[in-house]
Amino acid sequence: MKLIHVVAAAALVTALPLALMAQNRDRLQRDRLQRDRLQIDTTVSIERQGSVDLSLVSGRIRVTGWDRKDVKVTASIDEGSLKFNANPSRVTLGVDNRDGSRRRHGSLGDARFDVFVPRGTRLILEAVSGDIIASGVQGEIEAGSVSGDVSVTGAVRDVSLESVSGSVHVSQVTGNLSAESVSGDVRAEGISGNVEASTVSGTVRLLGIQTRYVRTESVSGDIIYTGNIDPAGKYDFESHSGSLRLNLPRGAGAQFEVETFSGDVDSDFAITMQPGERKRNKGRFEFTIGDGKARVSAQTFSGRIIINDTSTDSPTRRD
Amino acid sequence: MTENMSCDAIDAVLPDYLERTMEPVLRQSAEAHISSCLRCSALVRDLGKITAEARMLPELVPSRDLWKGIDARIAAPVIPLGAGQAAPRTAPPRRVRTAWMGIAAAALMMSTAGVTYFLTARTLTPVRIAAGTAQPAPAVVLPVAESTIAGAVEGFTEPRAGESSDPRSGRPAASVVRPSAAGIETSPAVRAAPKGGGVASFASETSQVRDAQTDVVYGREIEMLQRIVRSRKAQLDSSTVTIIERNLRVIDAAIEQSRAALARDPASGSLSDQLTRVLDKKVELLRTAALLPAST
Repeated sequence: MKLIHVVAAAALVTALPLALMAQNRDRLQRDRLQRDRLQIDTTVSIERQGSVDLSLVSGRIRVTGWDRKDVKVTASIDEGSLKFNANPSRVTLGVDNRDGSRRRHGSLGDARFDVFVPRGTRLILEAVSGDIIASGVQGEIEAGSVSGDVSVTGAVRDVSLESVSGSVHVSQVTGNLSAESVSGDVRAEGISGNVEASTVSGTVRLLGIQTRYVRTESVSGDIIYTGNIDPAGKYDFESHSGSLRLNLPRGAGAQFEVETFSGDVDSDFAITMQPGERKRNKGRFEFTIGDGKARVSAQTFSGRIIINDTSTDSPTRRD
Repeated sequence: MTENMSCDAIDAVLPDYLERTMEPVLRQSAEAHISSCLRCSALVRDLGKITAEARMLPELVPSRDLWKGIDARIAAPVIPLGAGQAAPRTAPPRRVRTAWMGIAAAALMMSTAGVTYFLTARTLTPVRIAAGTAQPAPAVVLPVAESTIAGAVEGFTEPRAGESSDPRSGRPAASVVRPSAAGIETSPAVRAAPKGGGVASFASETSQVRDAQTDVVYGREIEMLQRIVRSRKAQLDSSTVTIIERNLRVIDAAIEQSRAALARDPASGSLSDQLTRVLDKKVELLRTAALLPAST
């Protein structure tokens, strides 16, 4: 009996510290995981032209392209938790409530994502009330925010940017651009590729555009286009009550269809009717400038239509 | 050991994959491919997102119950027995009832298929966060129920009691398209179009019919979206609601102006196009509002 007691006591003495150590280790691990959920600072590798998918509710997403082959993620959230996953082709970072349910605005704090990605990475960026900024990524970008601003510089192939009340600013894109907002302004600069831009009440500014295809529309917002007119191009500008201002190079050659129900039409270019061309009815003209190869359509209901020659100091010109 | 699948193979099994009805081994292969393929992983992600967003939408109820009408037509007639009739009349030949039931079943199937197609292919079409390039004008023409006309002016605003307004523009209901026994009853604006003979008259009448059809299609779509948007108002941030409402008013004003101009020149194709564009814009904005994430 005594021997059994001795063995039991020895086992207890041995087991107790082990149990305490295990408990302490678990606590440290939980603390580390909790800290990781509130804050992430890590670097992971990604395949060439892999994709990075970032989403948050409120706060800011900033993505920068760099020459390294890794993705560096620095992120934090005030309340809630971060959800991070990475595999060779895809890196994702989002936000969760502590209970794991996603996107309950009331229980999530502001989050800040600062991410560096290899150039060429495909980005998918979403925010509810957060701003999105991407620069120098030189990859495809799909970004949308409900009430935040979206700003992108340096992208290729297909770029799709959206906001409801925020503005959309994009520059230096080689590829096709789709930029949309409801009440915010859309500004696109230095785009080489097809351009589609629309708003309801915001202003659309397209500056330094080199393209064969433009389609823009608004309801009450103004539309300003400064860019080329390619002989094989098709350019459509439509607004209900906003003005259309087309700043075109002197050598431009296009067949115009210009129509306004109650607005005015001003043109630096002489509107000359060729045989077969006609002024169909009040406020509707078809006319040709230069070689007439491109097709330009400008339509408003009550907005003014202004066609400027950029090589002259036109009194009506404004970028 | 799993065999890696091709993108085409993934396309073929995608419905089963999403419904989780695949054999475990096949599913493992599909997962292996999807995890390593940018195109397929993006596709699965997008479809998952669409499914999640569609789940957030409230249940849609048909604007009227078709079954009552069908039931009334196919039910066996109750024939009162005359005083001099000693024996009950025999039932009508069975083949006649069968034919009626067949017709009714076909009508029900067509109605159900039509409504399902209309709701899934058009209303639940996934849209992105913000307003975008105009969607093409709806191509399906359905009759408008009375309830369509009684919709609210703005997406988030309930119509006031006793007030009937055009959901597309906020005009009094007296000037919108109403259903009638003969089909579409055109608005006073359209009816007020100058009458005359010859080609011009035919063109004008053709444009009136076209505009009336446009009214019907958009009216139904807009009314349905407005119901969804109203039901979601509490889930959205008040500043977002304010912005959406303000822009809906901008669009409604544009619709009103276009209609007024069209009333003065009913044969104008460009004015008709103008109206269609702003109606498109309204549908697009309502779709955007209907699919905004909660608490935004």
